[in-house]
Amino acid sequence: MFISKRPAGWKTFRLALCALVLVPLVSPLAFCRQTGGSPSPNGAAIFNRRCAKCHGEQGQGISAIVSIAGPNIQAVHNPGRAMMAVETGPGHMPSFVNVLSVPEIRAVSYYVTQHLAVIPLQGGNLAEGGTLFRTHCAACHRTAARGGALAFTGINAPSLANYSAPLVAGAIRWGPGPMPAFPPSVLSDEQLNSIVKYVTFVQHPPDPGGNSLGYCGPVAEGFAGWIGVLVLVIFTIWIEKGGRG
Amino acid sequence: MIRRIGRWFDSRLHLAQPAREALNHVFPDHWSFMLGEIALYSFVVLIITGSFLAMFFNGSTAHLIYHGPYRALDGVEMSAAYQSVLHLCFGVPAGLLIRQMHHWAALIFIGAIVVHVARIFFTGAFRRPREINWWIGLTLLVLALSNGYFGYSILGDLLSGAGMRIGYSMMLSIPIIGPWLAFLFFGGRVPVDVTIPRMYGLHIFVVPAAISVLLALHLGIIWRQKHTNYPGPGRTDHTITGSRIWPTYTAKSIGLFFLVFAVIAALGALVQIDPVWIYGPYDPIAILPGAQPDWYLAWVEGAMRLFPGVNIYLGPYLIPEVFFPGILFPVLFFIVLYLYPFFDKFITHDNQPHHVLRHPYEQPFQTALGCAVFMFLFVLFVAAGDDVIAVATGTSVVTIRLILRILVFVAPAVTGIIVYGLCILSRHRHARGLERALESASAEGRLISGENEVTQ
Repeated sequence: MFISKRPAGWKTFRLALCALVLVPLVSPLAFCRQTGGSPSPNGAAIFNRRCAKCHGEQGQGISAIVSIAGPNIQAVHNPGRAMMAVETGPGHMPSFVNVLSVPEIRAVSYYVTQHLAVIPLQGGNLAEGGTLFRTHCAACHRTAARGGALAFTGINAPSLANYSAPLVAGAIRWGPGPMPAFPPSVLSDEQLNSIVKYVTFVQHPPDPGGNSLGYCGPVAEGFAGWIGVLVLVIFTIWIEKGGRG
Repeated sequence: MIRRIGRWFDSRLHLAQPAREALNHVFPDHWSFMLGEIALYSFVVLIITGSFLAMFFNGSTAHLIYHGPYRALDGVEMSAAYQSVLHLCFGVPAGLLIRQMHHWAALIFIGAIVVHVARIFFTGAFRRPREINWWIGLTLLVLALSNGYFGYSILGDLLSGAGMRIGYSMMLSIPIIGPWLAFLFFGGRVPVDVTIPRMYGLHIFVVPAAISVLLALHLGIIWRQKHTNYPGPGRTDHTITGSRIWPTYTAKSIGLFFLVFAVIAALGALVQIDPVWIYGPYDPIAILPGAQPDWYLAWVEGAMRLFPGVNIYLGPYLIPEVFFPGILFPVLFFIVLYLYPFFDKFITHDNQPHHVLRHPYEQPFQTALGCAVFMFLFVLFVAAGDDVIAVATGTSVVTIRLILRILVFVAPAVTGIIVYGLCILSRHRHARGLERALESASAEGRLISGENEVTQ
């Protein structure tokens, strides 16, 4: 049958026609998903423009009297954590959600975690970390890492109860504000990880004895003891009333 | 059968007659007369829990490596004393509970003594013939304070080591004899191995024995002199009204013992005290800010923090600034307390024996002075925790110390003036109330008398 007989090459023609129609339709969508219509963003450039002012060119942190102005981020290995920080803006840090596009946030986060994260965050010995913490850190942060007052400056060493492991590790190398820096010549990477492990532990110690009273030591215990004394004094009044009401 | 056993003993010991007399002894009814008993029963709890702890505590500074369930100290070098405390906390069944009860009982013991002393002071119960018991009571307080210090200093953790260093430095600061005295007491330059065994011996033998003997004497004198009573109808310096020892008073007292035990056990079970595992083993190079003593010594610590850093020379000798707030102040404070009965005699010109107490408002000056002193001690107590307050409130410790240096003078003065005014007002109101009561009583032709009370 002549009419029904398709000429040779019809299949190829049909494919080409499909491609001609579909590619212009689909490709912008694909580009949109990938790059937002612009070339792939440069994480290093974004970091240097947006982040380095506070975090330093190498993410080493900027020392300022404000305790945690631009922390060292060289121990941030998890891109998800970095992205979350860029998006939410923890602490004094602004949120970049309306400043950077999603691909830009992703690019800068990968740049931070792949090129700047030079402090390894693995291993370490908990008990050795405790000993090192008492030697190097407890003099200001106190043994339970709940912060201490520095009489000579009037500045308080902050409580470490809510700091993440990368921030603690970064602060040790960086030395924010009046805190001294502990470079690898003073504390090896292994020792640093031990301390980080101990800090993470002491943020939630087991407390087998009951309520910790905020790890305030004998001051809080004294107040609690006096509450006990007052309860007993009230009991003596109750006894003298003949145990009624 | 019981009667026969009783007869068997009585025919040999002849105890029935004195026992009957003893059980008929009358003890006045007022809640404030049971405050000393809180201290007494806390001491009983201390003895019971302390006996348990002594079976496990090792008062030795021998060095060893810890291996145990608390992994944050696994493989750490420490003293045998500290290791035994960790074992007590994590290895001995109920060990931590008993340890915490012991420590809470110590805080409550001294708190109850302070409340008891305040009651004696404000009601004038130290007056003749009770001066001897006032001195015995004060000595009991001094012994309790020192035993508390020995108790928390022997554990070998970082906090107790810091406390021992502070005590050592305080003793060193005494002019001329300080170094000899410190060497005599601590056995060398702290930290030295002999201190812990020495303090342990004092803590569990010498001081508790002295407390027990003085306590017996204290109660014996109360028994002999009979208890004081508040002024009221039918109460004179020659009679005593109240409940008999058996059964009323015994029931009340035993009830109080159970309540004391219950409160201490509740605190021991629910509230963590002195978590030595967090402080870590004592290490001379590890220093600890925020190191406070237990509350009963915090007033001395607070005085040391508030006292300005001045060095005074006595001829060629330097008197360190620690000496004034750390040694001179508490010693003078206790000397004044010991001599207070004479001072009271001097201002009231009253040397008669008294068995009826005086209400605090009857002596406005003494009451105002006492309240001012308590406020002074309270500010010093707060000052001992100035760094904790600074961290908790996010302020500078320098500012807080400045405020407290002003408050330590202003707060007692204001308290004293206010209390003085209140006493004058109260005295006036009571005088008018008494007048009115006497008028109505004489109008009805009778005098009011107490109900349900035994007069002896």
